[in-house]
Amino acid sequence: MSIATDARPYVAGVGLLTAGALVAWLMGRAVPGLQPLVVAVVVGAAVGNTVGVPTTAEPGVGVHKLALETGIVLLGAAVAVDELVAAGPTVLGLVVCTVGFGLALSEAVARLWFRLDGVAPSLLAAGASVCGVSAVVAIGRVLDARGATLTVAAATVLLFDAITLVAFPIAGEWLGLSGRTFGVWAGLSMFSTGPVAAAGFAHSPEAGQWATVTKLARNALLGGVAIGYSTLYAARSATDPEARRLWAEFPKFLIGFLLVAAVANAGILSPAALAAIGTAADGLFLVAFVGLGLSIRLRELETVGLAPVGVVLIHLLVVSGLTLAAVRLLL
Amino acid sequence: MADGTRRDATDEDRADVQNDCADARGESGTDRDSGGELSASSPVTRRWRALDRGWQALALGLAVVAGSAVVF
Repeated sequence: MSIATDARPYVAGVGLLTAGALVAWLMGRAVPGLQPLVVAVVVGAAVGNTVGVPTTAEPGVGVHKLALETGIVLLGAAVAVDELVAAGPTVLGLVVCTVGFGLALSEAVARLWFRLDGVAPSLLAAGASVCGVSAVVAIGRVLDARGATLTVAAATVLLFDAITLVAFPIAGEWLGLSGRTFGVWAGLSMFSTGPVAAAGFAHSPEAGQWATVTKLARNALLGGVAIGYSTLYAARSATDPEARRLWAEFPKFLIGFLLVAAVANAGILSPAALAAIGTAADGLFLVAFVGLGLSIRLRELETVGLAPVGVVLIHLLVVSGLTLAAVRLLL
Repeated sequence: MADGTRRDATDEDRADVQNDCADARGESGTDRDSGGELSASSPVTRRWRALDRGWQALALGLAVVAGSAVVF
């Protein structure tokens, strides 16, 4: 079998993503002030919740996750390392404190206030504090969570992803935050990486870069959080050493992001090459955000129970309030 | 703290949730085909699909950077 034959099942889905991205790009050019990345999510959600995704297009639509991660790798070329190093210790400190505090807060609110038991509070805490649905799935795997518990936790996170994707850019505009302040705030407070990047870029390119970098730092803690929960629940497998688990949970594309940032900041690439890389990243983000919109199922979000919503809402309000005060004070 | 009624999460259970975050471990970016289709694929495709999605993104990203450096 040739590579062309192997790629055939993906053509329809990739075509759908590309068409959506093209529509978003054209609308962004036609209407001043309209962010193409936000339009891409809206176009995807509109298609996904009306006509739906044809079965033949499903394999190709799944490629949007790869497009998002590749776009983030290329985003490394737009990052000024000296600026990152200057703000690095502060942002890293904020990330570690936010994740630690968020986990403790959600666990306490879920168990003491909403009387949730079992692994559900931990799934909600990990999803809200670290990395959205990926953290729910990863921690669910570590704790052998039931399918129904996983589904409810993931749906709750997705519900808040959809809400914060709209609410954060509006709040950033209303509060008059600078690109860096808004980006770090969104990166610390919102849940899944796609919506964080989309909200950041909806504010400004600078905010998008800071939001993505801050969120990547949070994502990098997933392995440590997984080990912590595994130890806490005493469910650790003797055949799966901690270092191996830590590596398995580590987002590998982060290495690519750092490599590209190092190459770009070493002055090896010409301005034309940097512009071409930036254009490629923009295109990949457009494709990724159409896919993100296609994955939002409004009907599924209606089935989420009140207790998980209450836990995550309290987490979001407290954490976003505290992180807003912190970034305004420290950055 | 542990849930006494817990059971092992099956693949179907895991498929219940949508994983739209950019940092999921292990999963390939193009891994939806069945084992039968995979075995009929070309060696390059098999190797590509065996890669974690994070490695695939890293490889694609570096290829774009290398291509841009050569062309421009």
